[in-house]
Amino acid sequence: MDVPVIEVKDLKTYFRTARGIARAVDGVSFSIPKGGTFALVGESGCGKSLTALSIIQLVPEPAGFHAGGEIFLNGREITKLPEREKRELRGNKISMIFQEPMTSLNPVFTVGYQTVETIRLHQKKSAPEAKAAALEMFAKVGLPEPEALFDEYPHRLSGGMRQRVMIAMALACRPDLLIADEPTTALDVTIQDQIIRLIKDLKDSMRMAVLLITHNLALVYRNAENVCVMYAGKVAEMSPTEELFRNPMHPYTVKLLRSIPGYEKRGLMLDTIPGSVPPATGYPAGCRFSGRCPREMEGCASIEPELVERAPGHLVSCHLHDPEFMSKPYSKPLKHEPDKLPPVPGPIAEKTPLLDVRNLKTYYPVRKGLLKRVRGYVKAVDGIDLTIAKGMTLALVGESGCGKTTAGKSIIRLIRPDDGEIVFKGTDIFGLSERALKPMRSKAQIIFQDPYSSLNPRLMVRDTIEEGLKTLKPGMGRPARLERIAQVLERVGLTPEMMYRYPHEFSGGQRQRIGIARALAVDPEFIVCDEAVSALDVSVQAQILNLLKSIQRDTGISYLFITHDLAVVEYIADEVAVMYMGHIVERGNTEAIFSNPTHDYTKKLLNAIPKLPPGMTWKLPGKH
Amino acid sequence: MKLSRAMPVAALITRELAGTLLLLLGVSFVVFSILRLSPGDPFSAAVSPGAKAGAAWHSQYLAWLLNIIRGDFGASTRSGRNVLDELARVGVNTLFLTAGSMLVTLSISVPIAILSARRGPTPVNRFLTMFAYVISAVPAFWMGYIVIYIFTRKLGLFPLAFGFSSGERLGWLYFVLPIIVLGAGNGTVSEIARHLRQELLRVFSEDYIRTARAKGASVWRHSFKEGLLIPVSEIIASKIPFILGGAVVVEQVFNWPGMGRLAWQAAGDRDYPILMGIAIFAAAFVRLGALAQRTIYIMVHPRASKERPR
Repeated sequence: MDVPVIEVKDLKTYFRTARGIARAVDGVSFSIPKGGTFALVGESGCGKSLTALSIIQLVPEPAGFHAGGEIFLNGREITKLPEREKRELRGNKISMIFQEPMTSLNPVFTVGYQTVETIRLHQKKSAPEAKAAALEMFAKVGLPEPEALFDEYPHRLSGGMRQRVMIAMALACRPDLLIADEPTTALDVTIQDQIIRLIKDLKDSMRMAVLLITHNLALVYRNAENVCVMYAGKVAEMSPTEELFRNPMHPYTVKLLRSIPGYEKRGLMLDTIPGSVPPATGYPAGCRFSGRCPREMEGCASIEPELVERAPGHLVSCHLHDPEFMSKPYSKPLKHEPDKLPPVPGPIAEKTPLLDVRNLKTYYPVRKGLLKRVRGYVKAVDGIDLTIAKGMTLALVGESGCGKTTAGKSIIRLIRPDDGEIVFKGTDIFGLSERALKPMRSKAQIIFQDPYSSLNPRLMVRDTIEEGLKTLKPGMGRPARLERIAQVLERVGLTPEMMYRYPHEFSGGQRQRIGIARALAVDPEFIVCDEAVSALDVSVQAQILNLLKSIQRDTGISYLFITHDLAVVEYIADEVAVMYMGHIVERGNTEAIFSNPTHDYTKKLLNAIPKLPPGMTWKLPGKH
Repeated sequence: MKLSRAMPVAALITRELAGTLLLLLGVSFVVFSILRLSPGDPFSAAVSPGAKAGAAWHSQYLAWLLNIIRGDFGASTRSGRNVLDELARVGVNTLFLTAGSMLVTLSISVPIAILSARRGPTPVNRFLTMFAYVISAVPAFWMGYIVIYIFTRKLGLFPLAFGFSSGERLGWLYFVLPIIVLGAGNGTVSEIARHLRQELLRVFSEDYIRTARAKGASVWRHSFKEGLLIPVSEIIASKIPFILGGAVVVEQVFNWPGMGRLAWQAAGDRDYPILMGIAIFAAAFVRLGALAQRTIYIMVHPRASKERPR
């Protein structure tokens, strides 16, 4: 067999921090052959991206350092090379593309310049030759009119086009290894699909190796030959892709797979992983997953498991598969988590109408010239009709810029719409004044996407929640308000004492819970969830979806779920409306739309999402 | 298909220039009002002999403004010489002093900023930052007197006179000292170093710098415009007023025949034509600095020409 393009042996990348040494990457080994695709998966904070940065020798210095292990590129060890030689490898033999195409290109240079620069750094080419090579790459990555684009600055291009430029730049020198770190996460689904196909085609035609880092497991299933599941800086499980998805051995892998939302899990609670990844400065002495593991045994927290091949090509680091460990007395189970996912508790509400939107229009004026006169309109929402019944969830889906967020905000009158009717609980609120709207404000709430920036960092959780109560429930006294806050915090799975803390003390998932608690406090009957779970890790996303679902069963609340994530829609929505350029092109029952889309745009959207084959279910390992 | 720019750079700069003219008109009116409202109607007496004393304010203003546009700022009440000539004589000296001292300020603070942004808090960088704080804390007039004391009284190197013309062996030193004193002692060295370091650190942490490193390119080439050129031009533009103010003091201390000293004397003598001329020139100077800064920004930043992504 050939020498692998990249071989990582017991790689360790540590960081010096105020709390001690953080073992971010702690003994990772794998290799990728020529033309192969290898995927790294895991929650955020597991060391995936740092493994990639270690390979391309870009660990942020001086805090981060190479603490051990070797990396062989085509058989040559590269960690000890002098900086000058490392620079010659970057962009030449090893290239990398990143998650944020919007900010990854330098805004003050043209895209042509930036591509030519890469080529001329590594190859002895004259300026015209390099330009010709860059134009050829532009054409290869499917950029329209390469000649015209060559002299454009990045801000003139869309996210998808910028990612194509990034790929053109990364591949301009025909590298042996391409590292793609969440290359499609920030892009719309249809663009995601194009970019993934592009990487795949180019990989095949250029015979390079690809290291794909992603949290999208369906994407991995469709594109990688081998997968490595990382947890807390170590390899939890590594195997050929098909084998891993058919027969996951590590409880962590099973948990991850079971937390993906999807059509088959409708009506069931999604599986979740309690707690969060331990900080890299203080891992448990034994198995790093102990404490969160549903199959934890007495010895797990103190004895560290080894990564051993338990099936052909399938390596796993878990005591459950170690016959010797299992024969010892400390293999006594500590927990007995049932294998089956429980159904969402509570009755399904009766269908009574709650919200009826007709012919809603919201236009943004375009102002130009010295006097800023209105020269035209962007028709963000151009005549949409929606109905939502009590206790139901309507998903509004579409690509960024289609008007779905504007629609959501217009419906609850956070933005003033220009025309239409919004009948909420029998009253048309379209033309109501702010004062007249007040009773409705407590009945219709919104949760935002970014749990990091949508909470005021200077307000305690109590103040954030109390603010809404003060204005919308003026009759409530202070003791009643505090009681209400404690109550909603408990409802969203936090504790009442947490009301005296500030947002920075919480994790992303907890912050989103605070957002939900804030909305729930004023007793709403309708919540707009604007990409409410899009920024979260899959296991945290599952927790929040479970929470939203069970709140709905408890209180008969209705949701308008604005999202671009169709797996979430499949799982949670009763009805779907597909939005495209300000119009709703198709709407109906979720099952009907997913099984039998009629509009071309809906078909395109559904075809673009990577999916796991139907009928895949996973059982936790071990006997119980 | 070549995409046309929504607004070409030249048009933007023209617009900025038009704004400058409007602003100067406003400044002239403010200056006029202050003098007109001063006791004793010095305006009618001294500045605008063409306009009749006691005439309506608008006709006085108009007459004065027309004179200015023609280049006639009137004559100094003290020396009787043409204001424009007086200003031209001292203006060059002040320009030399301010531009030179800006250069001194930057040549101290820029290297400190670059070093500490690149290398982090090493002992050398800590010392340099400390040094910047110390010299910023020393007032310019005090530093000036100390320098004079050392070089003139203790070392006896040169007399208290201005320029090369004195024929002294170390005359050039006397020419350079005020520039260094104003440059180091205008109180902005540490502020500029800190601001520049922050800007550089911000740019270094941008995603596109990571991209540059990932393709093996020089981090400097990718951070120079955004991290150094634009902030430095901003600093120069915003510090011009302070340096002009500092020049008044330093010119006094060093007996430097510049605009600051002229302004000082004119204020003492109630030489209104001179004061008004200086006010308008200073405003124009400050505004020109801002204009230069905007121009650099527009040229460097393709996005400044406000257009939408397609």
